[in-house]
Amino acid sequence: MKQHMRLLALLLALVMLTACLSACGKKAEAPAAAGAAAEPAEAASGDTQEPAKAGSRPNKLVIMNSKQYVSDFPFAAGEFGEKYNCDVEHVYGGGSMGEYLMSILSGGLGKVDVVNINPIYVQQFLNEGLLQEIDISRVKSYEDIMPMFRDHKAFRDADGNIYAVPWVWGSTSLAYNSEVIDEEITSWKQMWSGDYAGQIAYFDDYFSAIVTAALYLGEDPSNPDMAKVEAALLDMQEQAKTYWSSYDDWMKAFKSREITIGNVWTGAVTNLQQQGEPIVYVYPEEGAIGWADSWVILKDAPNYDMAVEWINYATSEYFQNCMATYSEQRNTPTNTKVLDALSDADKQALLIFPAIPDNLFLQYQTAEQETEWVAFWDRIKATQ
Amino acid sequence: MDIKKRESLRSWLLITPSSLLLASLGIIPLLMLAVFSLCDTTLTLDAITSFTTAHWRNILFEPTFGALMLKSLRIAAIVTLACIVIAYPTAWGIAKVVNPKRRSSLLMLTIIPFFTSQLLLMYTIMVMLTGNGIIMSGLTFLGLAQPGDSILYSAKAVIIILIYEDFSMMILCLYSSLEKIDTSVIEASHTLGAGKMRTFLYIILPQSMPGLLSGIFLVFIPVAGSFAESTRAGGTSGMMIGALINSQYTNVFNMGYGAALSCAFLTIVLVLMWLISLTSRYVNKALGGE
Repeated sequence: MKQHMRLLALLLALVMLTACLSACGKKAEAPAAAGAAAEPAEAASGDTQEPAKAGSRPNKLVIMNSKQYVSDFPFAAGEFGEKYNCDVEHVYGGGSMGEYLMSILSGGLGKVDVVNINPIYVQQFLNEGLLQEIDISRVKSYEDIMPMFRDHKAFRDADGNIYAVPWVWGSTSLAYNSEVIDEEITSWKQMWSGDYAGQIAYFDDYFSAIVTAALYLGEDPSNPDMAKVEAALLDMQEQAKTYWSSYDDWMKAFKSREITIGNVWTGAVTNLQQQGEPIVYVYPEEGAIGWADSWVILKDAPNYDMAVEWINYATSEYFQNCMATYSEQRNTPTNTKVLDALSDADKQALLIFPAIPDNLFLQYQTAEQETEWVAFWDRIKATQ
Repeated sequence: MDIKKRESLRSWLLITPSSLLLASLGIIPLLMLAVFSLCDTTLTLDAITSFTTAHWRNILFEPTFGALMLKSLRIAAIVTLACIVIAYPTAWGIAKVVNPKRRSSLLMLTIIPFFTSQLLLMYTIMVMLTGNGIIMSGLTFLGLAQPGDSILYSAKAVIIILIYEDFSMMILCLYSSLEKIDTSVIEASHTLGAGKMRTFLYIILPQSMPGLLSGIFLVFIPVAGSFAESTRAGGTSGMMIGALINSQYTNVFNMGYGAALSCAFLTIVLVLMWLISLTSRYVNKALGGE
């Protein structure tokens, strides 16, 4: 009995100690958090971060985005707030679109105004009735947005009404370690050749997995022969070292030299290049996947006018140029005027030098195809 | 009001708050899960208008669920067995061998991993398992591996990580039972000529069965439903049933199918745990326990 009491006392003491330490930790973080962002764990639960002068301005805007993804940079929310006399509040949506959706459904509607989402989810949000049409006449730079994104049906409803404005774009293409791989990589076929078996990281995303295999096979990425794709993906399962699903997965595997080649996002490559890693990013001759994160306005947004002003500001030449040249984290602009004016060095840093490839396949699909492809990819991964 | 009625009322009053808590956080969500598994909607803003058995037909007739469920149960069984093998001597040592004054410190060391993020524990082991990490370097030094060899991104890595995350739970459960065993009974067994194995089988095992069962439940169930470890460290064959359920909620918002998968998983695991419980009772009786 005495022993049990002692054990119980010990456990309680540890719990109290941990509680005290975590409370101290939060207090210590508080001053920094006033100017920076909330921790991801808090963000995922839908917690918000008030700006320094919250509540002191006549206008208000609530933005949902990933933490440290441009909109909370100084030239973004900070300058917008000054310019439009507006309190800008960020809600961090979490790591996946599922978490975004959960945050929106569990109290986000009627509170959040604008959300930054991937094109593949625009249709899904639209089908769920979560979006409202954007008054595009007030987005002055809209005509300057890259036509391949601006005119794509991914951002519109069936009647052509505009529900999303492309903002930052990038690609999912092929990268390799130039210190380990001597030959010049120009084709997906080289990744599938067997020469790099046990050194490949392949993206664990149903859309990217299937479209990349289709590009390798020379199939139409929007409607490939699924039997051929299945064979190619099973072949890749044999050859790949791992599947990856986040920047962190890819970068850790690359830096520890567990992998030397794979399909990856531009952001991970620029990050690794900044760290001095010997990584080369190429657009294979068969094509690559393109995506454009875009701003949408939520149904019941309490500050619709400010939301449109935000989209207008975020796609303006000034903002897009800041975004492309911001030394801490560069992002590729969708504004063609800004793209054309970038220096060669900036284009190299953004992995679009000498030119933007003309065979990018944009992330887009119907709800029916999505259900089918998700089940297909799960079945491939379950095959041992 | 007589004393009996008053006591009965008091008992009801005492159990009401916890019962309400259990109902609202346990039973009602489980019932909701069962209802959602039959809903023909993505369950976001839509009201439930129609029902379907499509999700359950998918589970029964598509090979994905069966393959991943079997794999998850196999990994959970391996991890649970390994935890038992590691935890039994450790818990016995803490409960019966070390100086009683040091027990608290040793138990504290055992539970320290619980105060760290599980994700952090996982990444720590992943770093150790890389080709140039401490474990593989040590094995290379001993001539048991080639330089640059790595077991990261394999089933072995997943099992090692899961054992590391869960074995302290098994130690705590076994300790709570082993500590209660009367040492004089063990001494009597030895005095009467029983060897170590016989004493373990007929004295220690039956008396530590409640702790062992708790340990099995607390390790097996979370391991079978885990997905972060296998997704991050399991390589291309790492997918477990938890990852399939997770993808329905985070990638495709197919809440109905996700609910059906969760229900099927829970049912299978509960039946398995019930069978293990029955078997342990039978074994216990066969060994002369209660």
